[in-house]
Amino acid sequence: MTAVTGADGTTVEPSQYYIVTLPTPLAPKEQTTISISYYVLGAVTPVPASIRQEEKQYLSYSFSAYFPSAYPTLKQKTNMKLGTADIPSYTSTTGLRTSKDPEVQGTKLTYGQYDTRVEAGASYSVTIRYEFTKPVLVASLLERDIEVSHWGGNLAAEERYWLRNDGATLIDHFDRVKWAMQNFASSLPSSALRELKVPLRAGSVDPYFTDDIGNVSTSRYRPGLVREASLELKPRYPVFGGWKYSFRIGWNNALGSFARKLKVGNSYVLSVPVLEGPRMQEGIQYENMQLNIILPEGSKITKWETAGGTNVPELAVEQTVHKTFMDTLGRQKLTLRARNVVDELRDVNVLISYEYSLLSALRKPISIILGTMSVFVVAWSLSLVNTSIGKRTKKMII
Amino acid sequence: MSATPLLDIWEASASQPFQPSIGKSAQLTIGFTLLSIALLLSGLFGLNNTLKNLPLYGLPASLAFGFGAVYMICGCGVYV
Repeated sequence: MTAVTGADGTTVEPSQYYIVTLPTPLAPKEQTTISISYYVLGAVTPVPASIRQEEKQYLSYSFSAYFPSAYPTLKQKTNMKLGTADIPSYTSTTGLRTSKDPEVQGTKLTYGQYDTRVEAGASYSVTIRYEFTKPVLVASLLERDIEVSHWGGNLAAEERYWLRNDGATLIDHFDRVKWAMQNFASSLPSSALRELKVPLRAGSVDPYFTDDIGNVSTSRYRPGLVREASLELKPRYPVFGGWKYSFRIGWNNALGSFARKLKVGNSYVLSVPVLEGPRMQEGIQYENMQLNIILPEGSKITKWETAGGTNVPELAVEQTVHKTFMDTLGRQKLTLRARNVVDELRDVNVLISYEYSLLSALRKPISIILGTMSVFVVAWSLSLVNTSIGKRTKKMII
Repeated sequence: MSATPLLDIWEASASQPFQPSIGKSAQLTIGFTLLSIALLLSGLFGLNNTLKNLPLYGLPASLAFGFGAVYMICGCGVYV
């Protein structure tokens, strides 16, 4: 599947077209079934835009009752699964169908079925409003660093989040007493973000959770050696609609489960997920994300590619040099940037092959050895200087 | 997505995961021991810094300090 874009690689049209290539050409009069899945980011708006702290939150979503198609459609039906039976308002269509449209059954809302022929590009705008008393999480930026250390046999991960809740804002000031009451019976739903659960690979160690102030102590780590570990983060304050929270988390892994040595030469292959991060039932949208993979000093990237997953966004690549502790030349840093991505990206892995010779591995100790050795040489040569006053009485001892 | 060459290489080398020369648990001990040796040998060199003692004490002290420093920083959690 390929996206149809303008000459400059972007689209400003209201409709984004994609070309679907069938594995086998479809003969005349034949039929085939295609299932297409896609995400629409930033599609919901809270209505009303401001609510009280303990009130339910409602979201409104506008779409077309007709499936957006570039072809004439003979028969169609749109099912909405809302996860709630509380649907206070929705657009009822007129003249599209003889019976009631849409039909509401529990948490499901159905527009159609329409048995009339609908021309290409036709649309019938409808809006539904449903209860969603959960945070609407958007990360305006996620920076993710992966640092590979061969000396330490370690893979260090750090993620920096700039998180925002796009839910309904508060009418009044935040009420701490009400909030305590809401939390006393912990099952009460809230439009505020209370907790983030970050699943980590089995064997992850040394996790940390800090923000601009410093360490955030309201976190819990459930390590797992065989099963997935879980890092549970409570932000410093509940993040209500319109509020923001930025923080960083990090952890360490043994390099052995991410890097493999090839049979020939000094080549290695590294495989890391593009995205880890919080797994929330309501999902997180990432407006911008940046993955930095920092390889050991002196290594050369030979090739990289993505593998797995179905929803790989377009990745902008940049290769730079990153300098940190004990570096003389700096390390190769591969930066991948993506816009508008969803949680599902966690199924995608980045594979990188790189060369790393013994000599470049020894660069760090050798530079320290040479430095120390030169100190000794200087110490010895200074000892040759005769600083005594008066006539030289003894011969120089070498 | 079809299997890609790099993915094939990754699958094929499943039996050769990366093995560090010194495991994480031993890094601090090794780093500390090597740095102590380096300190001791530089002390000995400092007592009598002659040209003869330069390869005798200076060189092993530098070697111990070079590797010791790398393992010490790894053992302390700064994985270089």
